[in-house]
Amino acid sequence: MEGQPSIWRRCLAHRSFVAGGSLTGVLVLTALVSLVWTPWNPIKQNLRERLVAPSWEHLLGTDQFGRDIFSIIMAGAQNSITVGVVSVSIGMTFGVALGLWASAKRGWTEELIMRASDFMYAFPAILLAIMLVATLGQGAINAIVAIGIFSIPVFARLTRGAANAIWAREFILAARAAGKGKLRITVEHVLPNIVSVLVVQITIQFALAILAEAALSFLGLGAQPPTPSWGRMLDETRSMIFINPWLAVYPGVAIAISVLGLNLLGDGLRDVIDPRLARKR
Amino acid sequence: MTDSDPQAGAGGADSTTVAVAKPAPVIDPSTVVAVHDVHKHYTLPRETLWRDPTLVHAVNGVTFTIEKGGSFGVVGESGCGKSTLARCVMGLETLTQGSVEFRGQNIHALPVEELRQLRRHFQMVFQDPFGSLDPRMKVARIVAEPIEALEDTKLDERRARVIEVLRAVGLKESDTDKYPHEFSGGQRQRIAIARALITRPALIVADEPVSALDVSVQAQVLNLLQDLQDEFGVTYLLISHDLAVVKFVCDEVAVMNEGVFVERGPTEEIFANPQHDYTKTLLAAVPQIGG
Ligand SMILES: Nc1ncnc2c1ncn2[C@@H]1O[C@H](COP(=O)(O)OP(=O)(O)O)[C@@H](O)[C@H]1O
Ligand SMILES: [Mg+2]
Repeated sequence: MEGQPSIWRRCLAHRSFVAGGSLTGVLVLTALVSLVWTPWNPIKQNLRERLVAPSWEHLLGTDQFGRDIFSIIMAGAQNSITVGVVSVSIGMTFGVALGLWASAKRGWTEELIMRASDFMYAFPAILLAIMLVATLGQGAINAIVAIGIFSIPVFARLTRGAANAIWAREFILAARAAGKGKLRITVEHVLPNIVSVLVVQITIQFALAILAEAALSFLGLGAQPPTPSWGRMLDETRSMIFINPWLAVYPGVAIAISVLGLNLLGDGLRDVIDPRLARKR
Repeated sequence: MTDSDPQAGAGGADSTTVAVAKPAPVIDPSTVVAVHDVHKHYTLPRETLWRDPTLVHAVNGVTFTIEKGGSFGVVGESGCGKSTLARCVMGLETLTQGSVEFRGQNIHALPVEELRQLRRHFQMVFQDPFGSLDPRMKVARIVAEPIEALEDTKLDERRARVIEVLRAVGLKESDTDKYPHEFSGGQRQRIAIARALITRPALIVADEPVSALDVSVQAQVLNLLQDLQDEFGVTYLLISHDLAVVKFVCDEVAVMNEGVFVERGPTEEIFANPQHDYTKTLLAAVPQIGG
């Protein structure tokens, strides 16, 4: 599309990109499929079939309430993806806007925005998210908002740094000489030139959001029963850990695979997108 | 935020002391740009808390005027303040002191919006043809930047003008859909010149327009600049560290050193009979190719 068809070939030649893309693809696909079909109803309890061992009927067995674990894992992907999409959108929208603003204004505006970001960034995010959720009240939406808020400074700092580098380029001076104002330059020149940096960060923040949501749900502050959630699965199986450790392994592996996939994808994207500009100069 | 008094900064507008006020530069109607005693000092970030920050006197009192249709050259070694002077003339930097009058208007005293509107009449070509074009924009968009920002031109008319100006600089209509990296250095500089030309400006400030190009391509681009002057009657402020370039294009030259003009005059005179020691060393240091 960008006059460079080889970008797809380079993507496919990149091992982390392919691995990460596949894992992320599986995650998304699982979530999509679970919207219309799961082997069993992930919510329905069946007390006669508690803790059944894996079989063709129940691929991963059942939990202590007799629910099909494979189905819960599938439906849990929905929850993880929703959390990722919504919280990253919140963090990105506000963070990128603040970063671009700081970079365009410079001076004390930049100083103020960046010091506020540093301040937020310096706190252990998960602790603050717990605090925030504890204050706002527990629940999936509050958890998502809290996670989103704490990714704002990450995006703000990244955006501001990348944008400052763009503002120093000569084509910005040329744009000013051509009569463009700051807003126009930000939208037409700065933002398009930092998209690649942002895309990489988005995948990383997405992974972090999934982890954070799992942590909050594990603590009972995130998704509430009966919404299927990997974090809550871990919490619910805590008491069973010595009786049937596999119950904890399944959601753990699901979380790990998703996070790994997104991180690999981010690494791959960085390699595939960034050198394009560097090499073409 | 903006200066409401358009006279402020012009120097000596104090009404009670009219008699002893510094004479404002006299503007001839045929004068395109009048630069009066321009200073630009940069404050470098202080290295230690205890020492005062260092001041760089990049431009240190420069005065000149360019008549309509003229081409004024500024030569000097790298780091003598040429690019800073160009940015000051373009109103891309605030001045420490002095004034730049474009057709009699002090551009540094204009409100932001008025200066922006005035920009269609003076445009700039930069040294680095790789850095001065946004790598993510297609040529059609790059060349249309000034009209997009400054005029309400309809899309089809905009496209027609882009093609017209691309032809004028020797590029093709089919080039509009390409990205800058698909061109050679010389072609990229042509794109930059097309962008500077599209609003039909009265003045083009060219900061080392050919320094980044191969010698064989340099002549082509310089010829283009001259042809465009014949065709559109543009006035040039041409900046270069290369004496040959200035000699080729300009009818008047100033020799710059450490932020000031050490010598100034008609091109032939300066080259035939340099008065200042610095000019002599500059001339002596250059091997005369194709003299
Ligand atoms: N933005 C800036 N901040 C600080 N110093 C600058 C800046 N721009 C230029 N200078 C300094 O001003 C002097 C003149 O630079 P410049 O105008 O780029 O020279 P030239 O174009 O003749 O090579 C140099 O010493 C340079 O380091
Ligand atoms: Mg320079």
